[in-house]
Amino acid sequence: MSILLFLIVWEVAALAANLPQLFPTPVDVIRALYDLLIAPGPAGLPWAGELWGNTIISLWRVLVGFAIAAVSGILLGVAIGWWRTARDLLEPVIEILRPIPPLAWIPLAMLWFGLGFTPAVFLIWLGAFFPILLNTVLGMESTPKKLVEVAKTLGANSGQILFKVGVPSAAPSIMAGLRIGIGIGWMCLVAAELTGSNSGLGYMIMYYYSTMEAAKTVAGMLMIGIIGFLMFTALKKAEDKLLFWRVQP
Amino acid sequence: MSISVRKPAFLVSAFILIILLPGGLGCTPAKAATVRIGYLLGDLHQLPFFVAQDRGYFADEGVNVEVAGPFDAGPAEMDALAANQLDMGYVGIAPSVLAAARKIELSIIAGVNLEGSALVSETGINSVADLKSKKVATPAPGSIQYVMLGMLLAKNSLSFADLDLFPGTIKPPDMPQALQTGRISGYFVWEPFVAKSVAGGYGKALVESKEIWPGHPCCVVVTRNDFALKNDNTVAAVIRAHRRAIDFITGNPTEAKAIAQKWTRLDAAVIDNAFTRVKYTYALSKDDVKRFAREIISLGESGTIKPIITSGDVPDLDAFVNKVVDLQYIQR
Repeated sequence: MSILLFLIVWEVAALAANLPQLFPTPVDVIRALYDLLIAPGPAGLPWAGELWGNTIISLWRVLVGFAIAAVSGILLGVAIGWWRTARDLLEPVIEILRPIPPLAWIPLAMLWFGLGFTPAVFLIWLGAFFPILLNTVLGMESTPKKLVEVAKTLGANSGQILFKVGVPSAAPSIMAGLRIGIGIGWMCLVAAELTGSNSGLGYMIMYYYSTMEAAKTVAGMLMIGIIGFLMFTALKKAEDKLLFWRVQP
Repeated sequence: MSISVRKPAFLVSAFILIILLPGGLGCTPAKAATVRIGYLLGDLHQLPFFVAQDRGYFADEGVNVEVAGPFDAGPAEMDALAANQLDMGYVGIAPSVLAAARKIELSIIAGVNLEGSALVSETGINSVADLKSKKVATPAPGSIQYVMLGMLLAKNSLSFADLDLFPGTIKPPDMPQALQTGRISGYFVWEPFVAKSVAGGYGKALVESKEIWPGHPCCVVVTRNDFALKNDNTVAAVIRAHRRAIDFITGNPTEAKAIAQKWTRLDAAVIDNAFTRVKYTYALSKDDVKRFAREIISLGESGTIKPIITSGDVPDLDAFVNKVVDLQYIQR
């Protein structure tokens, strides 16, 4: 219902503005979505159509970047959250690098990795890594001391304490970090593709901005929003399944 | 009070007013008309704009120019024009035609330069066909260099699909370095970024734009129609300053190059090299504009490039050109 209302307001506002090159109506955008669905896809995926072809390319970049961020973020986060030596060694460096926005890394990314797939994955990794890392550290540090002591009393060794007490205790925080990470990684996608790509949803948006086809630009943006929403929902469902012991509110 | 006292007071006041009034009307300068003009990043083609700014030609005509930009490529500048962030602009002919085809109310009112772009490649490349599957950069889709690359490929029975094209991804000033570090194998751009690679010894001008279309128009001056309607004198003044700048460049190349160096921040050797490829003129031909529009349409229809303008957008080319090109300011 609210979406319908939103669409009506948009249509009226667009018609009132009367600047179709800059402010398309919902009808224009739906038509653009259709045109993009049937237009030939990008190099390597001509059969997928322009919209889905570029979506697949972008999704692949984000999933790879996110996977690397998840592995590196969780491993480092467990180390820093669990062992004081690791924390003292690594935390200062991380605290300096963390505030630097991924966009600021763009020139370096292009210098180190050139054009196309790798610099985009690097920027997505950067965006996703820190939330995952920090939430993992937080989760590990919040492991209730009582549980650790009980495990020790029962004769557990340090490895068992880490993997059977520490990590499961940190799991909700880690999952939250992953959800935030993929969200930020997906948002970095457009920036990542605007500089150094010639395929993907971010590139597609830039292309149609340049050729002044605003409806197709908005269609691309809509696709980014929809895919982001679907990824988020999928992760939430996975989280609920994995952390089955949590009491649902 | 008797009249005999009021009369002198009145006379004194009137006297003072009469002394001050002419000063109020004639001696204080009239408020200068303001115009927001856009231009492209480091683009040697737009030297007339730099010259007119530096030498005060706009001010001489009583025009106060607010510089907007610079823009990375023409299409972005046309977006700003459409959004009323600019009144006039120095821009490529292709983006202006594109904007006009999208029903943005603008007019092309003067030429700026002819030719002056080139396809630069690594020194080891000897023909356009050698660039197959290689990474080639251009300014944003819809820019004149993007279109002319399409024209060049069509002449060689190739299309954009045969290259690994990166349009709009690398800013023109960064293109020489991208070539030098091997990130790309070629790029098609405006001067002086052709000369930069050539003078640097790591690139060659494989095909100059004049070889694709001798004497082709490149940059033009455009104005928003609603602005010109309300500020006809200002627009005419800007064009007068523009013509004066072009005459200056023709007659004083050394000083013009010095101004070019200042605005592009490149050294004398590069500017010297670049100057050999650019021709400055304020002349404008409706036939040339029509040919450009036709090229963009047919390149899209033949599949050489992704369609940007279709014949559906511009069903009557003659009417379109007559509406968009306004020669009155260069003829005044």
